[in-house]
Amino acid sequence: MNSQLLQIAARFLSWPLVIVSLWLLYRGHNLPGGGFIGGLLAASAFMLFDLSGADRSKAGVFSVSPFVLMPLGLGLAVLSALPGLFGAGFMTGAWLPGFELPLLGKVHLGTPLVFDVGVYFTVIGFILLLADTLNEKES
Amino acid sequence: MSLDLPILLTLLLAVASPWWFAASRTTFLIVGGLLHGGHLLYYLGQLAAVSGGGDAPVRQSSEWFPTDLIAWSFSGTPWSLLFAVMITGIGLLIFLYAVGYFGSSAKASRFFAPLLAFEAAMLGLVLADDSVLLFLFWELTSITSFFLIGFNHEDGKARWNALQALLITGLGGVAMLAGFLMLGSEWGTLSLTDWRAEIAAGSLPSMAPLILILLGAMTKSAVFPFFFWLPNAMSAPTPVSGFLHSATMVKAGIYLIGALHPLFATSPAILGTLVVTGSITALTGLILGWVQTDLKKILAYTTLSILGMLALLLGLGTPEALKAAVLVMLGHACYKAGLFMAAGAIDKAAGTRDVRELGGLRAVLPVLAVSSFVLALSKAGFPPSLGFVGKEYVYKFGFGGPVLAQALLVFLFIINLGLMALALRVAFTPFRGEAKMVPGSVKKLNGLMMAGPVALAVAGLVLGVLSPQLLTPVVGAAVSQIHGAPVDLVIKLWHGVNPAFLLSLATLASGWFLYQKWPSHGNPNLAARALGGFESFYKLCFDGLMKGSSMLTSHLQNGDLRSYLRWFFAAVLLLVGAKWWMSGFPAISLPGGADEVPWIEWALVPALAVFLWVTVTTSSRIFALLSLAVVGLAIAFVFARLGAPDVALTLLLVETFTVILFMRIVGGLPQLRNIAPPRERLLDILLAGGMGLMMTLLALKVAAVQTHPSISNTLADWSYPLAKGKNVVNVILVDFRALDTLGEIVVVTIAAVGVRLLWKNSRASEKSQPPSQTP
Repeated sequence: MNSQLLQIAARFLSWPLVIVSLWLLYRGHNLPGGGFIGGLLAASAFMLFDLSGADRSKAGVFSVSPFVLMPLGLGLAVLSALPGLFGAGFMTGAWLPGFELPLLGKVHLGTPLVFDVGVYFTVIGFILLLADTLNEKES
Repeated sequence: MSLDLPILLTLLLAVASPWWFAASRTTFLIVGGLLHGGHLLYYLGQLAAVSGGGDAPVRQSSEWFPTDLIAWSFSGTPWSLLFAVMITGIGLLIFLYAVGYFGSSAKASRFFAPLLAFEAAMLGLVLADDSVLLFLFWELTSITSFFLIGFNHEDGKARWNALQALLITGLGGVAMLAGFLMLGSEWGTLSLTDWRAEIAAGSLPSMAPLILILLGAMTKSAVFPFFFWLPNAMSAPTPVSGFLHSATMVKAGIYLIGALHPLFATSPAILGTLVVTGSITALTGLILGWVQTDLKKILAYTTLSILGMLALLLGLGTPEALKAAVLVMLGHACYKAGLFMAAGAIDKAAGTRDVRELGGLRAVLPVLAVSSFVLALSKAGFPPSLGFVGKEYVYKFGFGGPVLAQALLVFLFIINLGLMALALRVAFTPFRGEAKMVPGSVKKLNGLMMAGPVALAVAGLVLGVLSPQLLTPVVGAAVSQIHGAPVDLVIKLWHGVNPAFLLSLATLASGWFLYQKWPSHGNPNLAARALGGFESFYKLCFDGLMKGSSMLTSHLQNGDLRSYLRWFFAAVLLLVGAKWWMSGFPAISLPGGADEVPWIEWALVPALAVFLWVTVTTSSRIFALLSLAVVGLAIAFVFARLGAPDVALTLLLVETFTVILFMRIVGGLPQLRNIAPPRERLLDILLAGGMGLMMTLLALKVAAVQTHPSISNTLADWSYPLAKGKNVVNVILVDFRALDTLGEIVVVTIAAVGVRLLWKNSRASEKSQPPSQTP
């Protein structure tokens, strides 16, 4: 499939999708969302390029390789477990003091968020690797 | 120093040996020799202390598994220490011999690791007090001997022989383990010492474990009908044969029978089995040895003969028979190791082991000639060698014993006669008479290779002459232990002229006559034919096993996803169904409150049914996929209605990706209708229906059963104060149960890499096939 219309749509829709996915990722701690859902949504932005027949390798950020994303995600997840070693124990959450930000309200930054970002990247990498593999088969 | 230290040190030397030997042969030789010497002295000291009468056997135990069932425990009983002394003593000589035998050849550096590991395992086997520990060492000897027998791995026959030895002794070992565990659950202990104490206290073991343990001992010691692996094991290098056949591998079964003799003695049937199979083995070994011309083969068959005689004596089980058994075993360990080393030396020097081509070597190898002759005298039972002492007691026991024993005298006379003639053939023929080798073609021998035969010849003589002083306490203690009650015995070299002595003289005279009048014509094919029946039965079992497992694999693992699912579903249905049936079909109650379900959720039911029907009946994969996605969406809707928005959202996205990704490959797949014939479809319907029914019942049952108080409210209460999050699902995922999630994303990563590799491989194999075969 090679649709001009879809290719333009992909260019315009992909970034909003990523932003929404980041928002889902962040708010996941208090409301429906989180790294897994956010990661799947972000991956759908990548899929838009593939479906429209556009060349993802020329699409800036969207040309990132799954072999970068998956180690990055796993690495972040493991990294988030380490601060606990100096406190309550391995993989126990640790937080910075909460603070107020415009738009976001009261912010709690802590290792669970880092962990969730790790999940986010791993999930995107997973979908991308499958898609890339199947693309190869097709060509 | 403790009993297990030599085991660990020998293992350590084994691990270091490949590098050490390559780096510095001399230091390896010196350190290895000193280590063996130290171990020998240590065990000799222990043996002297235990058999002196005063000291109780050392028992030591330490924990190595977090269970008190299998202990790292050892006991230095006289019988065990006697073996430990033989293993380290002959091990020392074999070690020196092997260094000389291999010289600086490249093979040598990989030889010592299995040899030393085997020696360590053998030491562990005879010293272990815990029966499961004994089993572990037992299997370790099987595995290391596999590498030793198959050492010349370029030779297919050697590999086959190694595998045969491994399978037969390994299977026996497994039977033995089963026996140990059965006895263990019967008496609540796995310790050999405790078992002997149970017998002394009057307990009777049941029959099944005894048979299983005996099976292990008989396979290891190559007793009929498991004897055919031993002559085949001759494909090992000579140092290995010398070690395996004298004091170690094949004596492990004899050790076990001795160590558990009080248990076996409770059953006349077990002892009777030993007598019968031992006699058959002894005679077979002799007859088949007679037709051999290869020095090593002759020695191997006489080993069979001796093993049979030992089994026979242990089976007779009287204190006199046991005394004879211990002496024969000691004598055999010395002369057999020495004769093997001599045979290897002759082979190295003259370039052949065929007794018909050897002769007159005494002029070139005088030291070897003398020591071989002395060893042969011990084997033949010539006074005052250790072999003579052993044979005297075999006969003495016969004359003084029960009627059965007297009947056996004739039999033992024939065996000893044959052994004597064969001893002369192995150790006398190569040296006597005219030189048959081209002068100058005989190579010089390394001094290290002479040490073994000379030392063992001297040891046989010294132990024979000084047997009253040296051996009386040791053999007495060992026999008392085997018998399970104190036995008072005295060993004498000279009993005066009595029937046993006269029979000994008769043996020597007729043995010499036999040797002179009936030289070997060599007919190894007879042996091959005689053992052929056992070999082909073994081969039949072996091939059957291979065929059976490949058939099973091609059915279970045939690469067809549908058949994997079938096996999986069938197995799950069977297991859960069996559990359901065993618990008497517990009633399933429908949860109440069906009338509270809003109409919109009821409305989903017919819609789901319609789309499911489309999924299973359509012939188009795209239709099937899309309608299945609709089913998924409907379920996501239910999740959202039931207050699980996270799950609903995730399911929605996953369904979307499934469709997107599947669309990419659907074009290349065949039509659904063409895949399965009607009969298979019926099976699939049954399995799918059964699976669905089972899952529904399980879900209903799970909802109705509450074994523990629900944790959801606790988690909801903790969520904000502990984890600063209001979305409990997410807090569980990234905080409370973050380790689980980490595991899951690792699995996701592995799955993705797996998909990629599968895909690449299938493409690569498609490419490598000729085009006509690709569909």
